[in-house]
Amino acid sequence: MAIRIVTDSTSDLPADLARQLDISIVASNVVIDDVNYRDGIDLTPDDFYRRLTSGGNLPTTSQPSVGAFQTAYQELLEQGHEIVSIHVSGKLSGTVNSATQAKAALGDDVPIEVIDSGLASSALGLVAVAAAQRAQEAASGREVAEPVRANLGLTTTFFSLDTLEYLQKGGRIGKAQAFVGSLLSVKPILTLLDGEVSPLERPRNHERAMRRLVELARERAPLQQLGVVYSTEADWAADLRHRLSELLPEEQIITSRFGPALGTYVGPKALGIALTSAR
Amino acid sequence: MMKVLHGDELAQALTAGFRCLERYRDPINALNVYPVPDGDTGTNMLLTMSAGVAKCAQSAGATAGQVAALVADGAFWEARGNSGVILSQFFKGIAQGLEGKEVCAGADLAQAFRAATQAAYRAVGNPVEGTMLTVIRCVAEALESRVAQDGAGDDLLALWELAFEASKEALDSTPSLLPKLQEAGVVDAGGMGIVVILGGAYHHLNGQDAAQIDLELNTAAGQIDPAQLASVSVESDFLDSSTELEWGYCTQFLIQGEGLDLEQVREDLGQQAESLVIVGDDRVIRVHVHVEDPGAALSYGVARGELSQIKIDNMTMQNQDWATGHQERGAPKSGIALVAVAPGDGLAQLFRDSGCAAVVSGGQTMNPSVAQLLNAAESSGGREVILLPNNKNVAITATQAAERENAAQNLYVIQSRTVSQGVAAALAFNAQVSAAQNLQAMADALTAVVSIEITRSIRDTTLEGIAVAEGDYMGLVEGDLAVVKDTPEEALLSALAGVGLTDDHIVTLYRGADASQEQAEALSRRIEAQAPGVQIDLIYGGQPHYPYFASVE
Repeated sequence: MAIRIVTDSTSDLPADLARQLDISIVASNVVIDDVNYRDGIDLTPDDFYRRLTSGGNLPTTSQPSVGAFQTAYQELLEQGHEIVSIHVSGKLSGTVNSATQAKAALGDDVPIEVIDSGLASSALGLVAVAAAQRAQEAASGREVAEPVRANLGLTTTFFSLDTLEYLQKGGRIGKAQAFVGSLLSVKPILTLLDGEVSPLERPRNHERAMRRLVELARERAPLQQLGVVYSTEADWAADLRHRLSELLPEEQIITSRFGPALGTYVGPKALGIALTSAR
Repeated sequence: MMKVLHGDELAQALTAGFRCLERYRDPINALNVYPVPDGDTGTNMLLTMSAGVAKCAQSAGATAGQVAALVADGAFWEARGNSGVILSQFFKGIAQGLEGKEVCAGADLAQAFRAATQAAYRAVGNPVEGTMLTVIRCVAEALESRVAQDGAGDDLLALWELAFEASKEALDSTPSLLPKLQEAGVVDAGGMGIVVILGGAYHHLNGQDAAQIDLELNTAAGQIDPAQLASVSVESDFLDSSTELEWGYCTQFLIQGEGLDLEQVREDLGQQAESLVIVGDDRVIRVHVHVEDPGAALSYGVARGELSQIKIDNMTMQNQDWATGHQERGAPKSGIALVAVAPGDGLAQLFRDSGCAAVVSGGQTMNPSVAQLLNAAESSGGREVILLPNNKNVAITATQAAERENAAQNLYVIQSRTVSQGVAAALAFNAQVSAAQNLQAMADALTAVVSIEITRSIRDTTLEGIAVAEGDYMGLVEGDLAVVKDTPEEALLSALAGVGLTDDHIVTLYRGADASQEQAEALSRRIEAQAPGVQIDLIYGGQPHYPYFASVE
């Protein structure tokens, strides 16, 4: 018997890392031209971004079904594990609802802790990784869930977009609407605030945005965890990771890729960081 | 002997001063130190004073204190430009000095000028001698010392004569106190405005017609020829008709075109309008008229050029505004909003695009008033408003707007002195964070840009040791003259070379109304050749008189 972590595919965790830490990932759904794909299973990121930028219908995403969660939970419960299930912000997605309903369907006393992280993408990934590391030494799901909940405020994320076009088209622009201006070629930096996308700053080009991301990380040092996340430009991510190595050894910085769930909104050439400050 | 001034007499004296200012407006406008198309001092002072003087005409039987308060209140809201703001504070001080006074005796006058001096000096962050401040102070000192003599303050006419003479003497001293006046060969324009107002008032009290007198004033370069003065006072109707202020619509607009005939426009519109204030040149004319049918005035304007900055107010409503003491009205405010002043349609669009809830047209040649800034702030809907003046002549007006009393909105001013600074500050604005955080971020952002402005000299002069000929293009870096060239493009390239571009820089080029897209694109390529790798963003600004603004960050 052990404590196992479940998250959803919007955590954008690299598959190797998830396997290594026994993290189960429940896939979101991506619909392109009426065909349903399971995020990360039926659809590779390269395929996805090619479709996104080809000018056809915008892909739409939907939360994992209650059934998908039930299946994942049941398998782990049958192996005798307790579950801590950590998910994308309830203000961005209904994933937490699916998870909660799945838990309820399995009975009153099932040992499952469902957590709304208020985060997304690699920031959610960092929380799942920290939880998995804690789970290796914990005696109960609660022993993992309580510190995870208490420390959510230490994890945050900043991402720079090439364009707000996708966020706007996808209907998720929210408070970043004010940054939509297009006369100057700004590369807006957004963050997640209270579980929602919130505008932060408007650097004038990619290089300024990159420098600002490093500064934002530096302002929050010392750090426990650090991640870099990109949509299409792997070399930008490598460059950023290298620049961030002053804050944590480069091999500890987790590089991940915006999957379709977020990729639909951040679009190509997006680049971000996720970090967890030391207490 | 005139021992006291009654309220009506004070109102008439100030009105005469205003009429005199109206006659001397052009010579005062011509006293600019910088040979750039500028917010004209004479026009700014005249417009600042106009509303208060008009109210005086409607206040027969008011006390001296009430008259002074009316003039001060009108000037506060209509203040524009540095000289206008200082003048409004001057009147505020006069009103404080005469507060509660039925009549104005000699000692009261001296006390009022003392209060006016203090208020005027406080109006500017860094008082400079050799300006209108000096003129105001010297008058106060002369009056105080005369009144201190036993019985010498009993003759009001003699005191006004003393005030006028002291102001003239102080005006003559301004070039020796302020080297840049000496270099330009002029006396201080705002100072001359004060002299002219006092001169008009004195001559009126002495039984002369303010519309006829020659004040015999020196500009330092020579005496003003009375023939230069406006022979027909176009605004004289303004005062005669001011009892009819509640009638019709206050209609304001800007005509832009080629070969405009200012005198003709004045004459034509004069036939259908009251309260004319029509100023400008052959390319831009600002019209302010009170008409029964604003449509006819607009049709007249549109037949002569492009119209912009159209503003039509119902005078009855405006009078209600006055009656309620300019109390804030409208829907409850919420959130934090950004308001900018922009001197061109492209720049107005850019500021709106960058998150400004309201944009006021105006800038170097078109200084908006306190009331115009406050109207925009109100229309923004913000409970807290951050104002970007984007011009050094507008910054002080914005500061005065922020200091008004009994306001439902908190108004903050970012001291952006150029459009480039304003854009950088606007990009740092984030409606999601507090006003204090925004003010800090925006103030930081504007220090990160270097502002370049290219404009054409309107006369021969020497500035900071550089000889400038009429028609030369001047490159101003951070507001100071840096280069003089034959073309706007050469001036900009030279100014950029002085700043020292590297491939790490971003240059934003704002093309003015006088520069074509082709010229600007060719210029961009030359900048690129000069500094390979530099990012150049070309934006249509549409600003008049400045072919290019540029920022380097």
